[in-house]
Amino acid sequence: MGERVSRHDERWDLGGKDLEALLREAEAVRGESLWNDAWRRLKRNRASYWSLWFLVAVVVTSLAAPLLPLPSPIALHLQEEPEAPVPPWRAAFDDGWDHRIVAGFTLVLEGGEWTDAARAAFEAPLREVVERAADREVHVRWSAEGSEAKLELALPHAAALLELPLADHIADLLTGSVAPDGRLASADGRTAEVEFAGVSARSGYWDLGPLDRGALWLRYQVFGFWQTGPWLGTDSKGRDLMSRIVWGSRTSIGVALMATLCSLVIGVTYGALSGLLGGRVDNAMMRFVDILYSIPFIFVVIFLITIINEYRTELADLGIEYITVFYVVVGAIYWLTMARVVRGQVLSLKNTEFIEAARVVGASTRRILFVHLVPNVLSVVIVYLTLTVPAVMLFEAFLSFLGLGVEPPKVSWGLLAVDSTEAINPMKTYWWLVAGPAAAMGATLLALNILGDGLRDALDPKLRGSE
Amino acid sequence: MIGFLARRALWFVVTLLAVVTVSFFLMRSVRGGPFDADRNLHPVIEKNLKARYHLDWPLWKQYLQYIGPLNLDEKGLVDGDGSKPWAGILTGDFGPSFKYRDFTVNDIIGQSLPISMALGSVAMFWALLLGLTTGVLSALLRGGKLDVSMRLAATAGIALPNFVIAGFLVIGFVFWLELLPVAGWGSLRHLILPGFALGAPFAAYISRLTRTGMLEVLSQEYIRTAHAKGLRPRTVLLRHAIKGGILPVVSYLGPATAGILTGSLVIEKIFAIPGTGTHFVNSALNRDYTLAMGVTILYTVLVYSLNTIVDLAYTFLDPRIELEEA
Amino acid sequence: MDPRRRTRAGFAARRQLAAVVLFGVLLVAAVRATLSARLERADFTYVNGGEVTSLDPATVTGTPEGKMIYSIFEGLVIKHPRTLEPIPGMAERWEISDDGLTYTFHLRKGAVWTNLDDTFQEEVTAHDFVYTYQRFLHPETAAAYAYAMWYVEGARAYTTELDEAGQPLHDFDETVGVRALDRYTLEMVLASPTSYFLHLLTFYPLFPVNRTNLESARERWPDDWRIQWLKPENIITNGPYKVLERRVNDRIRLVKNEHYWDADNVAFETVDALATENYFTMLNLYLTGEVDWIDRLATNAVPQLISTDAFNPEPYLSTYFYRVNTTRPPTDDARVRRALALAIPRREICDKIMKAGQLPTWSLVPPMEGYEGAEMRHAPFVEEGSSGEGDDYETAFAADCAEAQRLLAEAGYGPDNPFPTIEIHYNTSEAHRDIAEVIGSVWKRVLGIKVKLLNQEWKVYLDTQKQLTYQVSRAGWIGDYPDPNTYVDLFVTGGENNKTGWGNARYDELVRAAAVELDPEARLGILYEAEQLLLEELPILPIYSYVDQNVVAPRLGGFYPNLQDTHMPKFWYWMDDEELDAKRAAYADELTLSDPHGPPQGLYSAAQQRERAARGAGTR
Repeated sequence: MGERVSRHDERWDLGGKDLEALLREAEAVRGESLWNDAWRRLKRNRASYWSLWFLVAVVVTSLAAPLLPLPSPIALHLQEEPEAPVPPWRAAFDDGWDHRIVAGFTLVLEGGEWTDAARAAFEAPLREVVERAADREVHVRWSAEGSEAKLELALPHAAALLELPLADHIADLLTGSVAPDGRLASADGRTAEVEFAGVSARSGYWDLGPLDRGALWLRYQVFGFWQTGPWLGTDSKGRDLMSRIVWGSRTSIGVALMATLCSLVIGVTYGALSGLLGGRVDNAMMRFVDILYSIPFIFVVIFLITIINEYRTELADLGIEYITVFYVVVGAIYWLTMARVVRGQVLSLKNTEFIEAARVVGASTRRILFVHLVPNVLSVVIVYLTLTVPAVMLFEAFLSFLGLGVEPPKVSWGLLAVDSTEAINPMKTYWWLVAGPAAAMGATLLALNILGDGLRDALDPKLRGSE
Repeated sequence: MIGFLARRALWFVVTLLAVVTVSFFLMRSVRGGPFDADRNLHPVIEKNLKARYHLDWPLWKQYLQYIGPLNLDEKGLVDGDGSKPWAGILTGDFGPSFKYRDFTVNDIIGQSLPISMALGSVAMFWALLLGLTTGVLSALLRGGKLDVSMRLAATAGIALPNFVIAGFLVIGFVFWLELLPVAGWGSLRHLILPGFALGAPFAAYISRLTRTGMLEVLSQEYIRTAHAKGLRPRTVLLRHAIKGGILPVVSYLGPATAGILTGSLVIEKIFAIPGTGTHFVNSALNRDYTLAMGVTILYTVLVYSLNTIVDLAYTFLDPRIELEEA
Repeated sequence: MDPRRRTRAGFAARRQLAAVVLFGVLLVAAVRATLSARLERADFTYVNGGEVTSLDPATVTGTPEGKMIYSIFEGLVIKHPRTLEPIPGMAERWEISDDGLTYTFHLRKGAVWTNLDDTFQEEVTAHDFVYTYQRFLHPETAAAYAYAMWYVEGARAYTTELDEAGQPLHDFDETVGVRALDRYTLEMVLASPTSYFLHLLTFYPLFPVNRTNLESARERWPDDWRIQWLKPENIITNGPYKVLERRVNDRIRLVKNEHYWDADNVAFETVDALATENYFTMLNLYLTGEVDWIDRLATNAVPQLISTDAFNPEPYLSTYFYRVNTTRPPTDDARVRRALALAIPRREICDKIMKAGQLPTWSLVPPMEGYEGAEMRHAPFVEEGSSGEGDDYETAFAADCAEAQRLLAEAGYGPDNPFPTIEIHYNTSEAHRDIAEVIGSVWKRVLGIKVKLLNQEWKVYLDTQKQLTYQVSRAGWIGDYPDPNTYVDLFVTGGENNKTGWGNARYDELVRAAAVELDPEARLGILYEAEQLLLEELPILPIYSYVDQNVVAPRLGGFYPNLQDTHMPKFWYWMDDEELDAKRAAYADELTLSDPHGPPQGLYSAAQQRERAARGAGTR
């Protein structure tokens, strides 16, 4: 005679508070989506995490290039030899800002040589003339030898300032009131002949878009004419290396991203289609990829680029720059592997259990595609992307070596890398020209690779939940 | 096996034909001919020069002449001087080079290919040496500082263009240490630096592949069994783990060799090595049609056969894997 | 048996080992195979700047090919290494008739043709030259320099007047003025007196080839003879060196020809010509002592070398200029062209970009002896530090710019009719790009013209020039012989190397008149007038005239900088330390002494050694 176990087990009788606690606990446990899980694991991988932020910093810097007070990356100041780097605390204030308009005057002092006092006397009225004509402040540059002097008054480059009317305006003011017969008189009775040499514009950049021009204007407001000195040295044409690295990153990263995007679009579409359709069509499509794979792409690239070059003017009329087509060409080379990878992934996913399960449950094809297939394919694609970008950058460097890549005056890391090979010889190696671009490019590509590895580890479903 | 090889051979022919046709017409559609020079020729002379190489024939006839042993003159299909400059590639004759007129394409490839192969071998050697060592070490010491530094060192190979790496090597070993010659060809010492520069990027990939492969293998049950049996770690490693770890590397060897062939162009230029890589680009830039076609075909043949060999090797090395169509 | 070996895993392991070993063996074999072809260091090594197109004198046009041909063949006359005057080669002496039309060459006896292994020996006779020139002029040979021989009577007609089968209409022996009077006498009759004809004969395309060589090749290899006759084992030559080995893109090894008539005076036994093209590699090879002479230098290495005694640039007969397309606006207006030409910052280009002592030029013809060239009109200036009176360069340039602005305004361009964008077109090269950038920036600053740069790959660049689809295009021209005609006759209406669309009837008339003018003074005067006319119309914009860029081992003797930068290999030798020191003591300027290369005891030819022994020199 035992006690009959009550059907109603008291253990499961949860009174108010206990029930609430249980429910709260249940709520707190969240099912993890693929992305959250991946992000968590990526954060855990310190190297990849830091790489990610480093890359973000690189991209932000390159986007912000016009805002930074850097010297012009392309203006030529021809000199004998490249200048060695000057650490920031020793660099002199560099007023060589090239992106500006300059009004030039030559003065010949009568009876004597230029002194500071004399200079002060004659500089002021001319300065006033220009400031009145342009309605903004100027920056002065003066050089004198004997009784001859050259005065340059620089204005920031702004779309609103047109050169020719400005020159006329200044000339009018000069001949009208300030120096009627080409002579300027100072308060203490000295006179100097003054000649207006006209207004010239120096552009420190290639054609920039409106956004960049706006950024440049903002830069002037904040920093004025101040710009960094040759902190990383210059090359033999006087172009600041740091500036070239920053501006070059725009081109390189732009090429890499665009080309990768291109390869992504073509590759994913092609591969997914091939995988989904399966059977004979899949076979044929992959055969086509195999054949394309066998063509040595350098060849094709050389010819494609030559052909595109010919239609350069027509394309420019359509508003398409040579560089855009270049991206597409480069991207067109990398889609093959992407297509293969995607197709493999789609094939293996098509018949997995959870897809079957979803089908059994009655999910629509669209739902299957977007909720189940795409995220899994996407993870593979993302990993592959982070590994294609370095490959594209290296390929860009290779093309620059052949002279087929980005063209000067535009700057890219590939061109800098090529310049660095010319800076090496037994007599004297301009180490900064080699170290700078190598460090920049190396660090970025390293970060990309580490990030790619980290992403692969993070997104690998086999390891889900195992850490 | 026979079926496999037969199918491979068939696709090889198709691929080759496609490559040849595309390259042929692509090349001739670009401006500039092989005989354009800074000093223009008198029209009569230019005409004669072109006629000798049959460049005045219509394109399709040039194509047919190029492919097969068709003496189109004899068949009355063209008016010519009755001489055929070459027999067509089906007989293995790739024709005379347009740029290096004292050599046939066969001569040039015959001279330069062994050199490229030697360079490629040294590059492969460096790549495998560095890659396998760092990969294995980094897999064993997973997570440790050494792992990270090994991976960093390996990744350096793909973080810089190979000509920059070559530049560093030259500064270090030629100018500072004065151990090795700066360029040229002819002794083992000449091969060390170019081989390293060429192989470095591949070392990086191999390292990564090895590491991944090793990690997978090491987590398998039979490794744990081996440890449990009491085998020394070294035995476990060498006898069991590496087998699995090497397989991914083997499958990478195919594309790697293709990459070495094309990447060697830059290295050959910098180190003045007379290999085939230079001809890849120079022939295109010089519009040397025959040589360009010759190296294209060579490249296709090499890549294709290597892939086939790799697939065969796969089955050889791991009996579990069956020979199937990729 | 060990149970482990019988398992499948065991087999697999052995297979893998076998695979690895096989792979390793293949690697080693590949490496060994190529290394067994090692060559000993030659007596003298230089960089030829590229693999040569061919060794056939008749069909080549480049400098690297020229260097090879000067080594293995010898013509009627050759250039004196210092003065470039024609000195006896195959011809011992010669006479020129009073009317300047008939040249009679007396060939030396005992000059022979040989092949590599000396199994063939044949005397060089006048018939060889007749055969050579017939071949050279024959249209089927397609000789690029055929026009160099068109000064000979009937030559031009022979090459260009053809029947339907493409064969010459005229008979060579009957119509062309090249005859062998006997075995050792060659007569050449010109269509009109040409003062520089002897100079032309020192030029490598006119060097002889051996008849047996070609005919036996044609017999033995009917399909392949064009390549076979030039192979080192088949080629038959008469020059100071023979080709031992040719490795494509690597080197050509030459060995001394013991049967050369002047072998006594040839010092080097072996000479290597490397095919390296990369400037960086070339320079490094020189600086590490692997090669002894390079003829090209990257501009950024110039400042480091210019103060050493290895690099002493001298003027070179070559001009750098921009071609202007005169067939389309706005450059069809001569005023516009003149404005563009005036506003070029020549001094800045020479000093800051090229840096090796190139000279700004306002002429087409580079400076040469005996001809005071015409200059386009520009503001005169005097050099700093010279005694003359006048403006300095800066002032003169400013004046030129002002004049340019005035011309543009006169041509109708101004604020309401802005000047269209100009495209400067050049082939891929850093120097060309820098020059174009600097010129573009000055044109922008001074003339307000927007400039675009168009970089094209070499072949496409050539095609663009030929098709006249460019606007302003970078160009250069190396003179073939030291006479202004080599430049002036480029720009006749419709000339193949005109490529600007410019033509002027008076100019053509002057060029024709100069060709037939007997009096040398008057002739130069006519050419001067033609040049002046050209520089008035300016279908080209002259920029600078070249200097050579030879970096040569100081120890090398018999090598002299000259106007055509042509160096005859037979004269080269290594000086010993004594001679080297004496040479260095005699330097005019302060030069840093660099590594002299070569053996300290020198390497002299047999004749030099005898002479030195007689003198008692070099006895240490």
